[in-house]
Amino acid sequence: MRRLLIGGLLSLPLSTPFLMRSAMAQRSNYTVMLILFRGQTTAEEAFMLYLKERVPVEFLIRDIDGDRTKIRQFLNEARQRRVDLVYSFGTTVTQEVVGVLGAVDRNRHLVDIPVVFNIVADPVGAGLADGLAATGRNVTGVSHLVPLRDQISAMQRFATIRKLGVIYNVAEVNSLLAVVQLRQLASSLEYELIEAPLGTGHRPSTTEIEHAMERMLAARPDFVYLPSDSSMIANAQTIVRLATAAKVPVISATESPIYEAGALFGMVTKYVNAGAFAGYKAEQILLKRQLVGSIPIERLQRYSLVINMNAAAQLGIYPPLDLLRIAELVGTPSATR
Amino acid sequence: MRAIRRDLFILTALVLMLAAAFVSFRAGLYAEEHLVKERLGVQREIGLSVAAVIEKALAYGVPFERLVDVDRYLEAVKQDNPELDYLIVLDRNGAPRYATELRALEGRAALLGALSRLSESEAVAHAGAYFNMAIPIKLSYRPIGWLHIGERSNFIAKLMWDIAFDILAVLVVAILVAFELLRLMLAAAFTSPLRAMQEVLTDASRGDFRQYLPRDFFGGIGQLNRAINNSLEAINKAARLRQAAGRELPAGDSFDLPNTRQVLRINAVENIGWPFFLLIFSESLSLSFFPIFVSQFVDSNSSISHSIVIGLPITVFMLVWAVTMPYAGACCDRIGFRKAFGLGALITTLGLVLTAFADSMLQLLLWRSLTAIGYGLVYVTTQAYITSHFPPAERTRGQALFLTTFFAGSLCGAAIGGILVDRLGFEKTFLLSGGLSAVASFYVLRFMSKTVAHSRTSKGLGLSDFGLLIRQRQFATITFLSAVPAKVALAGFLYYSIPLYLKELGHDQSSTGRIMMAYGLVIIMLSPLVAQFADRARHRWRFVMIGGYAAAIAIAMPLFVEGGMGAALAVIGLGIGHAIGVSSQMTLINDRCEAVVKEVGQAAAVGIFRMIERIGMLLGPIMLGAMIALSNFVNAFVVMAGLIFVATTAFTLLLFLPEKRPTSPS
Repeated sequence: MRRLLIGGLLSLPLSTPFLMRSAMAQRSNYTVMLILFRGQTTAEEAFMLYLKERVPVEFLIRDIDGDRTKIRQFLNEARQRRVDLVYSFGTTVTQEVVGVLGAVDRNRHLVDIPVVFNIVADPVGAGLADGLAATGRNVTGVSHLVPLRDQISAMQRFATIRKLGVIYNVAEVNSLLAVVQLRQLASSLEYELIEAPLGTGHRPSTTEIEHAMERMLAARPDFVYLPSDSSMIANAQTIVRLATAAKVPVISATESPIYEAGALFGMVTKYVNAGAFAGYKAEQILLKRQLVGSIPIERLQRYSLVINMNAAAQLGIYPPLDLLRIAELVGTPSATR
Repeated sequence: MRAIRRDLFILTALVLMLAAAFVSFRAGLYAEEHLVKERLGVQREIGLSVAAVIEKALAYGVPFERLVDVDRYLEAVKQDNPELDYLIVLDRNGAPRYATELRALEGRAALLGALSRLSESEAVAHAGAYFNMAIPIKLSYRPIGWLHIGERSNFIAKLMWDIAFDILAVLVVAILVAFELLRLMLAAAFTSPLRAMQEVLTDASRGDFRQYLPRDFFGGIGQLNRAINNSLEAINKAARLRQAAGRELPAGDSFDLPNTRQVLRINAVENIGWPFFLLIFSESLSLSFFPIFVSQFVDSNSSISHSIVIGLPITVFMLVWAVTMPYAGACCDRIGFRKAFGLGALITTLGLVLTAFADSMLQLLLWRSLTAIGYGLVYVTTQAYITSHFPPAERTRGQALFLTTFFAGSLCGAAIGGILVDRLGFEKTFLLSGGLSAVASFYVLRFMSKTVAHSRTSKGLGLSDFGLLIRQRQFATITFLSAVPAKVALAGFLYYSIPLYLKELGHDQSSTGRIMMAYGLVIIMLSPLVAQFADRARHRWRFVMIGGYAAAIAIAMPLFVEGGMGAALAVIGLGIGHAIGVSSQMTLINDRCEAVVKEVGQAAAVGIFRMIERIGMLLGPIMLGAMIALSNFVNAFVVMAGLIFVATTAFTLLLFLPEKRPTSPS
């Protein structure tokens, strides 16, 4: 009898995981809506790949194409279709989806569907949270920005910075936050900040950018800084072309201008890594049943130094050997041995 | 018997040394070949990784002559691989382009000349005083420059010396363990049974048949015990039958009529020497890694300095050990050697086993204290036992035997422990320690006779005993001016300063270990010799004096001889000084303070003496630590030497004057 009892007791903890798994299997499909600012990036690819490998999931991809007025209709759709989770790309979209602190409107913003944001440079400055921690709200996410001080230290390894140019869009929160920090760092790191602001809305024209660049380049900066600003990233080709013509290297806060537009280098968080990290947070919410509000907002701890070697050759500015050793190089290598 | 023993020792040592030398020689040859290969492999790996970085830059279009910050990069590689002496990048024409800092490099011109002349096929070659490896830097499969890395060509010799010294250290340990085992085997198989047999047969020849011989476990002379016992049994049985039949027993003879089978046990010094060795050995297993073990328990957020916290368990151990000693002496006087040793070893076992499972600093301190109590009890018991089993004329020899066994155990334990911990880990090594000390306890409880201690004063230890001894001027002089300074030097100079000093000089752990081992070796080799002279000599205080001066000179040695050599000479000199002086201290106390020692009890007196002496062990690290912090190592050593010199001189004056007095016509 005793043996029977013990056998029963032993089998109980052994069988529970199976019971749980079968319960989970009943939940056949989760629906996740991705709201994007301008097209799909490697961050979303990594996010979806990560989730698909672990969770039965269906994705609804919604792109506002730079037009924030479209967000409202996507949110209505999300409510109607009862999606399990919303992924929001960038500061602007995320602010529209969950609302900034102190101005959350229950009718307009999502308050009951979990939201995981990604590629938000400064969630605190953008009013999404009080700090890089759990929010207690229905939102968590990943900040992709490398601290500005670290980015500038990397710049200083290339050359002394006396004048730093920055081109930015005053309509973009990310940019404004970055510029404020650049101004603060200017005195301690001993550089003069040359600002080229654009104030004509979310989609500045190429001509406007050319004018702003010309004004800035006239002051002969040592580097041009390209912040994590969607409208500037979209116009990176123009910015880099003008700067390179003036023999001024462009430093980018994000990776794509280095790969696609020929910016010299950047200390960046790879979108792939940020996407997978956001996927991990989504998995915690869907599969591990953790409360969104208890999952902290985090920044990735691993940065990548990306250097465009074609730009280096064009500018005649070569990276020091120890940076070169650890950097990810863009360009076509010739064979060695 | 002594001659046989000596011959056996010499023979064993010779056989062991020959065997070990042969194995070491073969291993050395094998090692040399592999070392060179391995070293070259390491050099090649470093070279290839540096070349790969340069090639990465070249492949992405950086021109060879426009590489940025190469010197700094090469310097960083050299910092990470301190055995390298240089890294130089030459262009295709043999002209140096980039290099580590070469200004301080010996024979720079000769080296650069030799490098530019090296042909492309010479990947590995001698260049000047260096052993050079050349690695091509290629672009599009063609070399466009060369990376040369090199180190002094005598590096293999240096490595071989290190290995030779390590082998020597292991050899010494092997011989010491073999000696200790041989001593036990001889005692167990021959000396003790022979003496027992002699005693029983002498009794029998006088008509006393009550004593039996013990059962034999060692298969030596003792194999005869059973036959002798059978004969005794037959005689006693006949006597009992006779008594039962009411017939008269032979007058003057004694028989085992109640059939109690009283067994005679012989108390040879070896009986305690071996378990003592085993116990010291087991406790010393942790000696070489104890600070590392402790550091796991140190809270990194603690406000107290890391190094002080690491020292804490060691200090607590010393303190508890010191405080335990007088009580241990009293305990030993009351319950007898056998029980005292057995109990002490059991407490040690418990402490060691609990240490293995400690998971906080507090627990660690607690279990180390427990270990220290057991250790102290065993230490005092053994010393008292040896003192009481040597006739007064041979007391110094007895003390020398004690110290020899102590240092042999501690030296072997430290050396073996370091090897064991790499394979077993902390926990299992501590458990093994506990197991060994349990064996020591079992051995003593099983094989030592149940006689009670020599001096059966059987009184508790009071403060009055302290007062009694300390008020005795001779006791105070010997203790405070000779014994305490000796321990200050031992703990402060040898255990605390030498490892730090050698580390500052750039020595690694194993060479530090070897240098420190020299102290124990000198004590082991010299103490018995000194003891023979000291037991014969009338003026024993002179030995203590010479020992004190020798220690003072030794500690000042780093002032005269620089580097590791000076430290080694200092350690050896300290060993000589202590071998001459320290084993004579206790004998001198027994000589000069006989009355007081009798009153207090032999073991208790030893305990109090050792406890006061241990104050020196606590003081030593603190004194030297403070002096080193205020100035530097060498100055601290010189001040220490001066203090010991002054103490020894005061000791001499205080003991020399009363010695003169009896010769005056008063």
